[in-house]
Amino acid sequence: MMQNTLRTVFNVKASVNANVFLYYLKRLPLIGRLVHSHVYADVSLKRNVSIVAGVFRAIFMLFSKALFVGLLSVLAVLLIEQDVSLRYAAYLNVFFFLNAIGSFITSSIFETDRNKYICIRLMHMNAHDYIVSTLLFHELVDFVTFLPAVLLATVFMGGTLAQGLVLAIMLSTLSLTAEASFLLVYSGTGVILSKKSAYVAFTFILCLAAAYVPVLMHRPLMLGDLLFHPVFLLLLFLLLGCSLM
Amino acid sequence: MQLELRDVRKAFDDKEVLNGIDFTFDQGKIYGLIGRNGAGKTTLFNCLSGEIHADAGEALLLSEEQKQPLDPERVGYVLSTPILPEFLTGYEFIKFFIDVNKDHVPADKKADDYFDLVQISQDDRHRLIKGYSHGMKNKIQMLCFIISKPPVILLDEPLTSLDVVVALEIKRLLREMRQDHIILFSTHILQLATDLCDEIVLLNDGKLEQVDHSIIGDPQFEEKVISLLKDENEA
Repeated sequence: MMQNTLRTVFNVKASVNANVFLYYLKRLPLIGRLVHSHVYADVSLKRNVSIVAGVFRAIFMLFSKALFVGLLSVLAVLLIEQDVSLRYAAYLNVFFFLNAIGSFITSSIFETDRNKYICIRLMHMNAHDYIVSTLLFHELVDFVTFLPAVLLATVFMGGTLAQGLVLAIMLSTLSLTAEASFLLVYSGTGVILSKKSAYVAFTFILCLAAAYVPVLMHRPLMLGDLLFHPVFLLLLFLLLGCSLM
Repeated sequence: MQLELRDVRKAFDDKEVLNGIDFTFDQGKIYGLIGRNGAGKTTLFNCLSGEIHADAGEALLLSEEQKQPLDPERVGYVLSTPILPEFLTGYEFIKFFIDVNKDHVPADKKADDYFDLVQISQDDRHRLIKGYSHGMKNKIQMLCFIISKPPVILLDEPLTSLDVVVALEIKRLLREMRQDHIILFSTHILQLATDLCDEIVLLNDGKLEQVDHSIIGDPQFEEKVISLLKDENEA
């Protein structure tokens, strides 16, 4: 059931993206004349356009995630912390708080987008199936596209590949936990926290302060012992399980 | 099957728009909902379709076997300005709609069969909905009901801006569909209501009132309805 939902969601998204591309291509001077008026009926052409768009999107995501980790965690620490012995701790401090608190700023469940409107409101797709399947897929894509950057950054800053993997898993777990928390707050109070600007501003400032102030003071929290402790890892998996429920 | 409204109320700030509506709609009939501008026709439809929550009261769907609160999932709602995905072709939209609602679709029915039903040409099927006329968008919305077969269908002034040919086609479709549905049709055009609808219901002062059958065929029908609306408004 969930697979069918996800397949239809993808097909809708792919068709919309291909049509948008062809629509604006038709409006370009000179090139537009080459696009005939029956182009929207050409299923194989549209499939190819979607595949090319998907590949470009994957490359863009990999690049943007690498830029995020590289600039905000690695480069920032290299510039701020000259003491090599503190760099890994500083990297973990920035990485953890940036993502732990940052996950609680935005919510993909409560985000309004065109595809969600088309599938749920206009096509009467089961809202639960839509949200769960797209959220899990979104998290999976995030995990896969974050993984190379996190592994590289962690090893570069003095950690191991296994520690990089733990950090990447932690990232997805925190993101799912944040989504579950937003849902809990909404079901209890009817408030969508991610749409409250005061909450978003406060969390954003807290996130930046917790990530960078200790590093700027050259006193990063020694999170390594905590983050890679077996009890913490067990808690992480329990949290992941609870969030998925 | 019946749709029963019990003491449905809705207010915006101090303005009571729906003031305790009690009414029962029957399957197999098209109800023409008539009211002046701002009387609350769209508000009533929005409450029934789950777009907004009523302040009080309930809407129940009664069948021979059971009585249950009206689930917005079981309501088909045509807005006066159709909202459809602009960057899908009509064919793609209906094909995906069939995929999602396949439990309601006979196995031998394909998207093209539905387009044939509403007389949308082969070329038009594969054009973007963005380029469709108002009438064609309305036909696509009608197809959604024909496919998903919701028990309750709400039509908010759907024929007002259509040309005569499309309006006639849609009227024909509605008449063909009514046996299996409860159809509520809001309009401010009295002639359209008398022509298409089986019952006329006035929405006035936030309440629903059925017009006596004996005056529907009356040559002075329009004057009588207008006087009813004026009287109650001025009372």
